[in-house]
Order: sequence, then C-alpha cells, then structure tokens
Amino acid sequence: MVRSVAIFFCLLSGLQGLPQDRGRALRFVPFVNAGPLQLDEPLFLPDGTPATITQLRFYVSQIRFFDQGHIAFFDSSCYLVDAGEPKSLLIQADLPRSTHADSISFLLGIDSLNNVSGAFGGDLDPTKGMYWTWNSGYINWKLEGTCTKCTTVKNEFQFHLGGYLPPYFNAQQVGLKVKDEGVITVEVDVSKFFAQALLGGRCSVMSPGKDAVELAKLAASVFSIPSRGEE
Amino acid sequence: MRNKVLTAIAALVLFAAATDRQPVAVEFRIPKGWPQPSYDFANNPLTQEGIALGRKLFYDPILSADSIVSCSSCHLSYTAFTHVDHAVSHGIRDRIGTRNSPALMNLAWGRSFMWDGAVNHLDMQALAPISHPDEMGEDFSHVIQKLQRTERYPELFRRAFGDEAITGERMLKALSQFELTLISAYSKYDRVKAGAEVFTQQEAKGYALFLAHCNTCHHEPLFTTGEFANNGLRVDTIYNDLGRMKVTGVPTDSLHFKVPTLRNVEFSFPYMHDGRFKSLRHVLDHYVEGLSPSPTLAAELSNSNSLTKDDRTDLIAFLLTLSDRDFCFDPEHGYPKE
Repeated sequence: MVRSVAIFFCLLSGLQGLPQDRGRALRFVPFVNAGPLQLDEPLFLPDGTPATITQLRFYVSQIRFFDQGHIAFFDSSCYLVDAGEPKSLLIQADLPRSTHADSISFLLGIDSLNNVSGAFGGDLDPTKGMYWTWNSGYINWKLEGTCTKCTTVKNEFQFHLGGYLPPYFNAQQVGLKVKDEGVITVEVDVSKFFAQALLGGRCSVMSPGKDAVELAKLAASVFSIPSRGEE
Repeated sequence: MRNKVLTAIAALVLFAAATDRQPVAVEFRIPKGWPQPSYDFANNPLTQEGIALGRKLFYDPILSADSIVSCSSCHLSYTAFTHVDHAVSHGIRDRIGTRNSPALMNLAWGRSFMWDGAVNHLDMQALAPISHPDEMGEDFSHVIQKLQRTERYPELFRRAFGDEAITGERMLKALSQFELTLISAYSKYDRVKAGAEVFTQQEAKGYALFLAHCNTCHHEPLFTTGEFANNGLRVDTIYNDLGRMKVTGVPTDSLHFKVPTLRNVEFSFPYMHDGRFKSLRHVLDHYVEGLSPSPTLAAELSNSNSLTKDDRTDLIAFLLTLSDRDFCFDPEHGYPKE
C-alpha cells in the first residue's frame, strides 16, 4: 500500500516536471537592447551612445500571486536582485506548483516600516551596500555605469533611488499579467530606463526627492513578461 | 545511588555548559517617572555579552580607515560622551567635520539621531560616522570583513549571538546594546525630584526660570522633546548649514536642528550644532540678546524675554544640577579592560 502510494506520487511529480520545479518562482532576466545584460561590457544606448553598465541591483518585496483577483500567495520577505549574482535572479515562492496565478505584483523597493525599524540581516544587511549611511533609508534601485554623455568624473552615471518619507516615497508597485507557468520569467529591460534617465545630462541621482520618484516610476516600468512562449 | 549522584553531577555540568553558551539577559530599567523608551527591545534584547561586545566595538579604532579613530575619540565617557572643547570634531587624518559631536545619553528615548535627524534608528546611527570621509572614513562592509579576520571578535559574537557569524546587523545591534545602557538619571536634579536632596535657593530660582522659559523644548525629565527647532542662530557663513531642511527638503525646516538634552550640559561645551558658544553664559546671552530673525524661528522664541544677568546666573546654577558624575565616571561605561 505504502509502496503504491509512493509510486503514485513519483508519477505525479514526474507529470509536473523535475522535483525542484515543485514550487513556483520568479526569474528576473536583465535585458538591454533586446539582449541579455552583460555587466562591464561595452554597449550602445538606444540613441547610439556608447556606455557600460557596471552594476544593477534592486529590491523586490511584498510579492503577491493573484488568481482571478484573489491573492493566492503573499511573501513579506525582501529580496535583493543583483545582475552580477545569478543566484539572486531566481526568487523561489513557497507555494505549490498547482497554485494558479494569472497576475503577480511586487514592490520595487522597501516599504516604510522596514526603513525605520533598525538593523536587519540577510538581503537587508547594511553591508550589502544598499543602505544610505548619511540619511537613513534603503536604496531601492541602484544602476551604475559609464556613458560618454556624462560629463562627470570618468563619465560615470549613478542612479541610487530610494526614500521613504512623504511626499517622496520611492518604492513602486509593479503589477504584471502572467501566463500560468511554474517559473515566471520577468524581463528587466534597462534600455527603457536609459532612454529617459540620462535626458538633459542627468547622470547622478543619489538622494530622495522628486527626481528619484520620477526615476523610480520609470524603473518600475521596465519590468515585463515576455510575449514569447519560451525564454 | 552512586549512579544517581553521577547522573546529577553530569546534569549539573551539562546545565552549566549550556548556560555558559546562553547570553545573560539584562533588564532595561526605566527611571522612575520617565516615559516609555522609543527603542524596541524586542528586536534586540539586551544581554551582558551583547553589551560587552558593543562596548568593545565602541572603543575599538578598527572601525576607522586608519585604525586610529574609535567612537570614543569623539564621544568620551568622562565628558558625557562628547568631544569636549572641540567646536566641531576631527576624524581620520585630522580631517575636520562640520558639526559638534553630540553627548550620548538616554538614547533609548531618541526617535531620531544626528543634529538634523538624518538617522531614523539607533541601530543605523553608527553607519554615518563610520562611512563619513571626515570621520572614520571606512566602508561598512570592509569593517565587517576586518572584524571577521580578527582572532578575538568571532568568539565575542558567538557569546553574544550564539554563533561566530559576524554580520552588519549583529555588529550594529551590539553597538546599540552598549549605547542603550548609557542612562544618565542620577544628577542632583534627579535626587531633588526623588526627595533625597534639596535645591539651594539659587538653584530653586533657576529651576523656576527654567520651567517658565526653557521647559517647552528642553522638556524634563529628558530635557529635550527630541524635536527640531530654529533657535535663532545666525547662519554660519563657512558651513552654511541649513540643518533639517537638507533631510526633509521642506523649506519650513530651514535652520532647524535637534533640540539637545541639557543633562550633563556642564561637560558638553562648546554648545550648538557647530559649537559656536564656549560657555553656558554665551548660550543664555544668545537667547536674550542674540536671536537672529528668521521666518522659521521657533515660536517659543518670538517674544523677547527679559532674563536679567542675575536670572541667567541663577539659570546656570540650576543647569549645573543636571550634571551626573556617576554617569561620567561609571566604570561600566569606560574603556573595557580585558
């Protein structure tokens, strides 16, 4: 009896794919110019300007899976996604593969409460370099690199977006319609960000404020679900 | 019978070994009549080992880029944890900062930190001086790496937190634990309030003047509301420091600075965010004769007061009753002996 049950479950998991696909997950795939983002590699911005991206890191928190308008899953954890750390691009959701979801949402950044509650460990540890030391608060989105448009030292650009105090609350909700797949691929197309961020010679935004909120909205718009069936 | 005794002994030994590994909880005592602290101890329960670790870190120059400057360089226990006789403090390579190092005490009641409130939680405060180029000039993750490479610290973190992992979170929480123990509540003022002593006639007169003129902002028993205000200081033309406005971006916060506690004010000279006044007499003269008009001047200061020279002398006599020598010379606060 025990054996037949075990065989049954083996068959069931076989039907659902490999055992590690048991849970659901979000996979972030950074893109630039319709190709995978390679840090430190030369590239051209949409308008043809040479550039490199040296760092892309952002926080994802409050992940929700929806099924026909109902919340099927909520994860209160905060995840640091780092284009230079392949492992960080995959966020496992602790819910069964069988859970249906037609849309997801997450907060791009860290909410107010976690910004004012002292020291945390893990992805929120201040050693991660995503916490402002001179003015308390997490950096929600950090994009750094070089671009010949920038008249800064070494042509560097630095976008550190954060801030939790009104009226410049920075973290943005991102909502996406998804296909009901085990691992949901989310493209992060930073070319969309550059098209506007670097306008007018703006090459560094590193404090909370109006510019940071405007750019955070822009950053929130770079997430999309690929229309192709496969990655 | 013998077996039973052996079992009992073994159990005792095991018990002792187990308790040796458990940090010993320390109760945070709220002085009588004081409000509830703002610090959430549930997220960082005080332990003897955590406090000891924090104290060691506080006095260790490993936190700075040149391994010369420690927290205590600018926060000396004997002067209520401030950098006495320095208008603004100096950090690594004698670089000069722009603000007067605040006295550290009663931090569990603080809701924000730094003169402009830029830091929103005690745990996160140390990040600011550690990484400021004119203070300790270090990268925080590098500080953690340096601590991990020492022989001593892994064991101290194990005692405080159960295992040897040295993380940013643990380091900051240990520092907080030590700082939370810096409670100054045993001045003559406190003893008078407790009925154990009496003010002199002059001190009593000064106290009455204090209640009438100062207590709104420097509210007892903490002698601060923790709020920010423009107390009529002329903008310093060198630093051009606009204070809290730089943090909030709100124009009405221009020239607002944190109201400092007046406890131990005898030791924390010079005064104000830029240390511009050398003595309490200068401070009081400012409030009577030196207020600089400004749209953001504190409403409490808008009506000129008429404190006579004698009144000011009496006020100072009262302010000196806020000195807490037991606090300044508490052996638990000083450099940790091994």
